[in-house]
Amino acid sequence: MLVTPLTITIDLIAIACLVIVLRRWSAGRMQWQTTLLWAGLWMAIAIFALFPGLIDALLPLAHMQERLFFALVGSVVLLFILMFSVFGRLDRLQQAQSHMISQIAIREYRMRYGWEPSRKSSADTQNYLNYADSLVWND
Amino acid sequence: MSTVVTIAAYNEAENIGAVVRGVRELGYRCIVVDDGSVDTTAEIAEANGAEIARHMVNLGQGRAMLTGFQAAMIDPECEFIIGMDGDGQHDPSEIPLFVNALKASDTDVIVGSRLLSENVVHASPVHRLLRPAYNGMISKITGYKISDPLTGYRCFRRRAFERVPEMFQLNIEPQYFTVELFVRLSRAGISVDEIPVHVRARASGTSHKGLFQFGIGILFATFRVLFSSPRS
Repeated sequence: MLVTPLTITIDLIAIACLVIVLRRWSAGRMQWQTTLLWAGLWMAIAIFALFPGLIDALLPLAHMQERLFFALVGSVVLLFILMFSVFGRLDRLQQAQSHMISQIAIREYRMRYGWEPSRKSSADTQNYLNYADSLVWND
Repeated sequence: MSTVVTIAAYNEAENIGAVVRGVRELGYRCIVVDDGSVDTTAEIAEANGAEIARHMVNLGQGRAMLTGFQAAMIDPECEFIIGMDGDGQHDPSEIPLFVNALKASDTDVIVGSRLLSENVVHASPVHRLLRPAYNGMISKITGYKISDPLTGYRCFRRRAFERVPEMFQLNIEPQYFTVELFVRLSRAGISVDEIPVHVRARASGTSHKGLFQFGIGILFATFRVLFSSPRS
């Protein structure tokens, strides 16, 4: 175990962040997958800061000799994975937002001009109108 | 059996009034999709007799057109759906040409080609350079012999959309939906033909499409739809 002012500071930050993550999760503001990811990351940082020797055990697996280099490469790879995940999530959010805005516009149009769903509408049209209703009103 | 004209408009307060008046004078219903405009586009369009569907924020022309088509299809009597620009470049008096062309044939979609008339002079040099390559690519992919697939002046028979319902669920990069439109129409075996149309210069304002971004976006959309499954 390596106890220096720096490792203590890193551990305090990691514990504080871990608490924040768990509080957000318990308040229902964070999904369990995200909670697991960030809790795991902060715990790993805390453990590696206290026991840097653990990194030495991983060095041969990555064919590296330098602890610092391993940490840097690992961090960059992790950041890329996180960025990829965030961008994917943003795309999905944008997709959902576009669809919802479009369907809200259609619903408002229907209400404003008195277009009620008609039995003569095609099945496809009817499906979309029902879907729009569910999006807008069953949130 | 009626015809509904749909217009996607974004900050077109200076042009939309004349366009809507032109459509209404011909006796057609007109739906303007206000795509998150920050000016008085919607108010002016409505004052001139259009019905308004309003996007709360700007989603791009493609998504606005899809919203318009969906709104038009709510009317079960609507058989022909016209899509045209709100910037005044498309002449509303040519709408009957589309409708008559569909009535006189079994074709599902009529595209208004700017290239079959003397409109090429309005295109920029870059447009003139890229357009043949793009048009050739679309023709190769879809099998449609259309000279101007990028035009926004089109007329659809209702059944064209009913046979490609997944088109309305297109939400990623919908501003480039023209590519998807033709690829999906061709996959569904829908017939497409074209007629010549005249294009006028914008009455005022400038286009909101950046040429570089639009070109790259179209290329990406083309590759994406090529690699996507037929019903996705």
